[in-house]
Amino acid sequence: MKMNKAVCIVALALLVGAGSVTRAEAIPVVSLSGIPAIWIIGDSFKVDVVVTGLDEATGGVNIDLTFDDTTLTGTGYGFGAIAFNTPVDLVNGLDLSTGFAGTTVNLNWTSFELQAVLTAAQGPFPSGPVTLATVNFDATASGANGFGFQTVDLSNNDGTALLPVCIAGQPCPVPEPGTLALFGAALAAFGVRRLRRS
Amino acid sequence: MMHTIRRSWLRRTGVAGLTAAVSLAGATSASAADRVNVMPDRQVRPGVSLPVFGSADGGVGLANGQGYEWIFTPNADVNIADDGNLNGVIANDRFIVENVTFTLLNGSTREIVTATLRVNGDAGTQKSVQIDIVATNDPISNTQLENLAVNVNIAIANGLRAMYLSQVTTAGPAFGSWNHVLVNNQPYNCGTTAFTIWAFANSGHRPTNSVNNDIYAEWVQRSVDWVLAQAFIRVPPVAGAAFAANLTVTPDGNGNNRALSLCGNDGLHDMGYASPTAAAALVAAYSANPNLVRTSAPFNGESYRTIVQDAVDWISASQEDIGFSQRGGWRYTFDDGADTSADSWNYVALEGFEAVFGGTVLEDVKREAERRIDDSQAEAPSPSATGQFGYTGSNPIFGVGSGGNATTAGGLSGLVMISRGGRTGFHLDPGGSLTSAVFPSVASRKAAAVNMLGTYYHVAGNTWTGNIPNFYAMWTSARALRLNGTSQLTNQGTTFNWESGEATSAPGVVAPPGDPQEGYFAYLTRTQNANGQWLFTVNSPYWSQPLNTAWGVLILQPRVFPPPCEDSDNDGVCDFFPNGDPQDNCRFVANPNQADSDGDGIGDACDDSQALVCDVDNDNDVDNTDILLIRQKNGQMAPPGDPFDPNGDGRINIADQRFCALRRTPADQ
Repeated sequence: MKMNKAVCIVALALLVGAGSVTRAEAIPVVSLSGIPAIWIIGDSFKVDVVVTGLDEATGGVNIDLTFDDTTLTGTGYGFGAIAFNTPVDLVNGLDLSTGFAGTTVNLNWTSFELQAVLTAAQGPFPSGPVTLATVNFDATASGANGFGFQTVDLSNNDGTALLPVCIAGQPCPVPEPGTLALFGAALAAFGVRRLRRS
Repeated sequence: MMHTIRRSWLRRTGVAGLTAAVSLAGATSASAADRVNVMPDRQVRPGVSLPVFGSADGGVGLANGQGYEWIFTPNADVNIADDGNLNGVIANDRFIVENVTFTLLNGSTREIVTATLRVNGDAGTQKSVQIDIVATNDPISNTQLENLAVNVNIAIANGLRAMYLSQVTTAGPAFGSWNHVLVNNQPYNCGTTAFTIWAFANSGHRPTNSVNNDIYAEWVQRSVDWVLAQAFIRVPPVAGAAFAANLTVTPDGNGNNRALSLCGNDGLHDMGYASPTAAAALVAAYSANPNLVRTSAPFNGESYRTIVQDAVDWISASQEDIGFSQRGGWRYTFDDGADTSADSWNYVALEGFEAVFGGTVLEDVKREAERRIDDSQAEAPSPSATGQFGYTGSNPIFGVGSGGNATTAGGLSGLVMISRGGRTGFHLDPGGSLTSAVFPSVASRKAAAVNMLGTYYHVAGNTWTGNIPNFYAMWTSARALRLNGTSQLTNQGTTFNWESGEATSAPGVVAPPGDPQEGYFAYLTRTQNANGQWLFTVNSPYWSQPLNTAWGVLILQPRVFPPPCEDSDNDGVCDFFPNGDPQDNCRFVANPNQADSDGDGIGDACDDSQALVCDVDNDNDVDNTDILLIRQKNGQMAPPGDPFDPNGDGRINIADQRFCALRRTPADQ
């Protein structure tokens, strides 16, 4: 069946455009790593908060990580040595975390470094996986899963704005309508070229 | 001016964030609002519900249906209890209101909260108002006189709001006016409108103010337009002819062969009161720029000086020409006899024209007025009456001893008018034909009138006699005493300040409610309704609630006419240029040199940007404590200028921490 050119262009644009909403291209993704499939009483393990795909440096993080406090007890936390230089102490940054409270651990770190911490540590962008923070747990009972994020805020390097981030496994923020339209228009133009070639 | 506002108030003793910030309302409409106004900065007492209000797009209905939100600066020392309408859809874009009660915490006695009105979620369409919450035990309010001063500020602000809300805003011939209510006709409504314009202007809300900065300005402008639309045009009578029989100069000061009865046809009963009041109101409204030229009908292309001159021409022509006791005075209509009440309204218009507009009142008019003054002031050698002014004759109204305070004060304002600038009375000063052993001079007449205002100060007012609570008598007395420079009266052996009620024998003590020497300020601040109005205080068809409210505000202001140059901080630099543009780059803090080192248009004396960014604890450095304080507000919204949002993106979060981490002062690094 011969498809009308215009219909084809619009359909192509919409399909690819819609896909861009969930694919979150170019938006860094924050995830957790190191979570065992299951744990039993007496286990100890650490969970890393990892970000991938940063295309610019971050100057601070504020994360609220949730966990199952009926099976786990938090025993400590630290900030990623790679992300925030070594050693992580009050010389090069400020830990204003409020720490563990019930099912949540707050991780709040602000860098004092003038130069973006990830620029020095990781560049070029976009970066590979970078550990922002690590949290240590002891299992008090058998369990599995139960981790999540309440807050994930990353400052840009100069502190003028938050960096857009996505959380792994969750829908990403929908691009602004204007951005989406532009994206769709670009794809439509691409579609025209493809159709002409055919 | 009521108080000085600086950022220093941001000093806080605690950090626990309390916020009334909310997310943006979801409602939107096709076109965002272009302009938002908020109520003027003001004071309020803790624990008292305050309507915090603003308008959008001029408040004429264009912004109805759009979303709005109110954002209050979080302040650890203030609990902000709202009425649940912090955001929603605008139903009345002239009065977008949130009723809030502030409670001071942690032992604080004074805090300032910034309230910001945003419309349609557009951060660019928003304005903020600073609300100064003052407890009675604060150092600026913990003496009786200071406490009264704050109460006066609050009463004026409430009164202005009440006037704003009672203006006729429905489309039609009354649009922009104020209705007298009890006597709903053209002269009474025009007089009420004129007094209200006067009260606004005396409070700094001139029709020439920028509509972007003053929520009341364009509504006062509309009321001026309404008054001028009532104007009735006459041709000035030729000198010596009928209606100008005693004038040697034709009353046409600008030679345009026109005289104006501002409130309407002078043949209408009572126009003789209303029209001169409208002239006085125009003087008040345009005291800073009498030569301003109108750019719309009516009187398009004419200056306010021209218009007021024509009104003065009419006042001059309508002065009574004949009669034994009424010659030289004014009454209900054109050349209609005289009564001291009407005289008074004309005296004050003429006073304003000369003293404020720099105009010239015909010498003939002053000489004729001297006759009327002589005929209306009681000269009987009686300690209970000498010096009082009567109504139509010299007998104090309704008999000697009844205390005709309104008429006596009216006559006093005439004595001030005829002697302004050191003028010697033609008839009433030594050598004149109307001097006597009792009154050998104008000065003796003034002193006698002042004495009578003191003698009868305690007499309860009714329609025509007495004093408090007759607002007409109080307003007439207040303006005459101010024009005469009299701050103290003597009643029943006590000399006291008639504004505050402070007796010379008891400095710092305000006379209690109901005291014979209770001051006008104390009386007015305790009797005002919560909605800002003063109700009908005497059983009279003349003195209505809208008039009382305008008069209440006028009495509470310390002057009869606003100065040509409003100078809130008394630093010699006017607050505004005559066209209404801001002139003083720091209105409420004296800075005569107008220094502005960063060239941002805000004088150094009150330029917040001079303060250290990120120094939220105001200890003159940026250190970890400041970052900690910001961190403790993480997640909160921030109105414009909130120091806890140093990157100014409207949100307090990790980016602000990082922003300040890069700005730590060297000693703290």
